[in-house]
Amino acid sequence: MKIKKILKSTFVLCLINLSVHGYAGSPIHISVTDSLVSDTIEAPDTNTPVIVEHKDSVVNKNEAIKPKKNYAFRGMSLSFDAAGGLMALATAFGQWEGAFRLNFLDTYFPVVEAGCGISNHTNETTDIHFKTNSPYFRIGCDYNFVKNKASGNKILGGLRFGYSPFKYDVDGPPIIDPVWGTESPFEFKGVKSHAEWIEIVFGLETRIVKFFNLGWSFRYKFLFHEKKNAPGKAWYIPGYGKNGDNVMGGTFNLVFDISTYRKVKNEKRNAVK
Amino acid sequence: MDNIVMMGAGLYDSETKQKQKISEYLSIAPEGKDTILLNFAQHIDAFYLPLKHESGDNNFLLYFSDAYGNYSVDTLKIHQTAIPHLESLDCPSTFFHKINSVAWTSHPLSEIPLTIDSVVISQPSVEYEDQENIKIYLRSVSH
Repeated sequence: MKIKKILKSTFVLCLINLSVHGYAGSPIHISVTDSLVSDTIEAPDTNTPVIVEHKDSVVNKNEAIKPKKNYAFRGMSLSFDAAGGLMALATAFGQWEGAFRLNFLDTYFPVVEAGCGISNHTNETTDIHFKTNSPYFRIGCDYNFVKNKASGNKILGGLRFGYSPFKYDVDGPPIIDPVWGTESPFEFKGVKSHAEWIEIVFGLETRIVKFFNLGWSFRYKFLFHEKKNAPGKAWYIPGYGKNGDNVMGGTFNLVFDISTYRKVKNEKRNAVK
Repeated sequence: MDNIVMMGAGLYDSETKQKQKISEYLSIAPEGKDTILLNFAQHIDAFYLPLKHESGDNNFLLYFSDAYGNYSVDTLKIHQTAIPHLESLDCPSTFFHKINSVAWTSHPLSEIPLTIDSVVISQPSVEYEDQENIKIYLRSVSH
């Protein structure tokens, strides 16, 4: 009986040696049926942990832990653009903007952005005044380039399609015709227009606390249509920015992750129970 | 700060349909105004004229003269629609124009041997671009 035990132990140690050469540094899993043998095993290398599990207990563990379902839909989030709000308060134009974003596989993020573009500005040199307060919408999708999806950090690249149905007022000093000597008023109220554009988005986002993220995005925008009106181009297009064929813009986002918030809330509730 | 949009006019030979540099002197004035828009220009094949900020007819008097002080007058009538335009808040507002029709008069070649033969609209939209909006075909005594 004793000889049998020694033979068994030797065989196990040989297996360990083979494993060390094949998987240096990684833990070695050995399953044995005889509990007496497992007590005598020693690790061949101090850097390589050896995990010895009884076959019966492993079977039991597998039975106890049900595999988690890997849903494609991972949650949703709400965000607010703080940079646009600050611009609306402190500069010639800005916007109040919010976004609703879905999360698929922590990789694909379809997003809807909506806001209100605001401008009330008079140029000091020309004395021309422009005013608007109109909505805009964007729809698009971001892709997360980060490999470690569980970290909560994101490097995002994406596209947006933007649309704004807007109204504006523009007025200025009368135009004097230097040749014919006439004076023509320049005043337009409630001019209706609409514009469509495309945005290429690059952004970063990081988790600050449990369900609260901060991020920014840089955007390169291409205006591909604007309705022409009597007074010409609108100086500012809500959601797009200062009128031009292409402009740069950005957002500074305060992101509230609804899924993580619900998860944390449920964990707390379960802990109380 | 002025911001004037001008209508471009090209001068062409009515026979060859090629650009023509005139050897006579050409002066242009708006009808009813004591202003000269073009003053004794020679060897030119194009010029630019400002249009009214109000829609309607713009009449220009074209004075063809020679070196001896003889002259004859033709009238060029442009019927246009004035369209207010704002490019940016940084630039003063102005008017673009749409040329609807043109009309002209021709003097006898016995007076000054160069006159307007016909005028056609080549680009009805008068905007910032320095483009040719009308072609003025000139007839001379040799034809």
